[in-house]
Amino acid sequence: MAPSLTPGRLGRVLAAVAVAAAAGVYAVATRGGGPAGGVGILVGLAVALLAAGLVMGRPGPVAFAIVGLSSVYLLGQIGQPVNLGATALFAVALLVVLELGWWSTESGVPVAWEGAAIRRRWWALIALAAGGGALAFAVGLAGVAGRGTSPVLFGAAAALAPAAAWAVVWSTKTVTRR
Amino acid sequence: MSWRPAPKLHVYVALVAAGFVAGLASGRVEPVALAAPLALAVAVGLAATRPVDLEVAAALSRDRVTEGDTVALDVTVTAPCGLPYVELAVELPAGVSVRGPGPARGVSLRTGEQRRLGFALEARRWGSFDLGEVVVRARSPLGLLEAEGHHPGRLSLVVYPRPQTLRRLVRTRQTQAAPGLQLAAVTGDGIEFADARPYTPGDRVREVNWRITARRGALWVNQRHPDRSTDLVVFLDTFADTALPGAVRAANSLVTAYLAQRDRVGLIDFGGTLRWVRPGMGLRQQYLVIDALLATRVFPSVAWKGISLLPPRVLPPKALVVAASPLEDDRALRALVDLRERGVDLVILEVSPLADVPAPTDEVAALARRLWRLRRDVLRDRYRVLGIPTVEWREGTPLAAAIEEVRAWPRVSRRVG
Repeated sequence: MAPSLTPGRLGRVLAAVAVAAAAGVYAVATRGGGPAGGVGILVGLAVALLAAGLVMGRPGPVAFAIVGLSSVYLLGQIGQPVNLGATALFAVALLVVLELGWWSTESGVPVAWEGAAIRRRWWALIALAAGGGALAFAVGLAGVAGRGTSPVLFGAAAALAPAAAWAVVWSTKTVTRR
Repeated sequence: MSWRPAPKLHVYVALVAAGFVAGLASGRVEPVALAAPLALAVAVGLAATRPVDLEVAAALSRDRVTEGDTVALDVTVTAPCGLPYVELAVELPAGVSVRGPGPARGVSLRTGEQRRLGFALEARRWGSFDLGEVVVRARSPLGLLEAEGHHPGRLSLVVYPRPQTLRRLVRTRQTQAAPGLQLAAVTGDGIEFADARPYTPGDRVREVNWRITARRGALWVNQRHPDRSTDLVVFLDTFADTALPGAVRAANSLVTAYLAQRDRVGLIDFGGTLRWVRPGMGLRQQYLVIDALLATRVFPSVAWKGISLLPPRVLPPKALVVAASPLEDDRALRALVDLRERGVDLVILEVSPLADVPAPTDEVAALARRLWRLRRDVLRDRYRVLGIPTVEWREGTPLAAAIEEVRAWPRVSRRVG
């Protein structure tokens, strides 16, 4: 059942679609080369998929739309120097779209939230966006700085990736067992 | 309640993994940078999650109300550990609704905080209801984990039908011996003047009518109508659920009005199951009858039933029987004719099922509806020929109008057969 269209939800849906559209336009505008029309169509499809998922109350299309927008951005960066600030901003935009999209689709029945809970959620989103942006910038910075030793980094990352995945699974199990 | 991973966690982990893999495969840092905020969300969301533990209690301000009344439901929720997002939804049966923001509320609870949420419930239909469970959903700080619990409310709410005001009631042909507020047709001790007759030895002097005595030159005394009670038996046709809510409301109005006049009132629930309440008077009898009305259900049955199954004390002599029926089931129709053939003072209040029938959408449906109405008219006329006052009443209209129609009916004893 699709969630009812309350003013708050409508605002979040519109904000998510607007941020996604802006990110898509930015990705198309800053691409390194290739046909602009095809990329533009891909962005349009991603935004349309996002809007449809939000209206229907389905989070699945939202995730696919994020993948689509990310693909457009990453394909446009091929052959170009790393732009850390823009990448961090794009990452924050995707995070905001994802969070707003999830917020808009999580309840099938209209829930009358008290003001404190809504404010808390907005603050959490802002803090997460700020922290996420900073982390994306730091990760990018570390990646750029370590480019000369890419085989070493590659080996370390390959070793750390399963460990990170295991850590997520362990954390989840620990928390859900409480 | 215990946490379980929400779909959001799966999606975030999948996106983070895809970003890392893409970074490794392409040798570029951008995919990892794009996935970094999501990884942060997963890490923070899991680290900030506390054990989910909630205590929920619910209480009603009143457990017995009348239709249209509002009753307060207080749901108290206590969180030994803080929970940022807690949804509480009350499952309500049909006939009870929530006024205001809706049946679901969302709160943010700090550690040890107790919160009381008030829901204004509106009783829209009579009946005896078991209020459903309180469904509690909790989400972790970033919504990566969720928990759901069902707390049984164990609350029951009895909603009485709201009686209509009836200023005048259907009079019985014969009253009972017990005193009451109805004027008897016979003469005796009372207040209301009935007639005057010549004095006979044994008459009290206070009954002498001096004006007539002066004119006639002989002693004349007044005769008066005594105030007596009546017995009312409500015959409720519960074979079909058509118009049953309206029939119960009409029966409740009649029961309330007659009991207020110190009459004895009984009930016959004539349907798939046969139940009865023997005639009695007073407040206790009112609750007995209304509780029986609230327990009225339609039980599908094909068994033939007749009034011969009823104990004699349920249908006392001289009682007025008011049948509230949609006149749809043959067994009820036959029982009503049987009552009349036994000389029972019977009135049929036809609770019209027309309101429950959807409007015809095409010509054939319109013709079928017309034939059905004609058949009902014929049936009504047959009862009238038998000397049974039969009046139609639609829910939402004043019952007093139907009562006045019955009062205007020339109700004379008529032999049938």
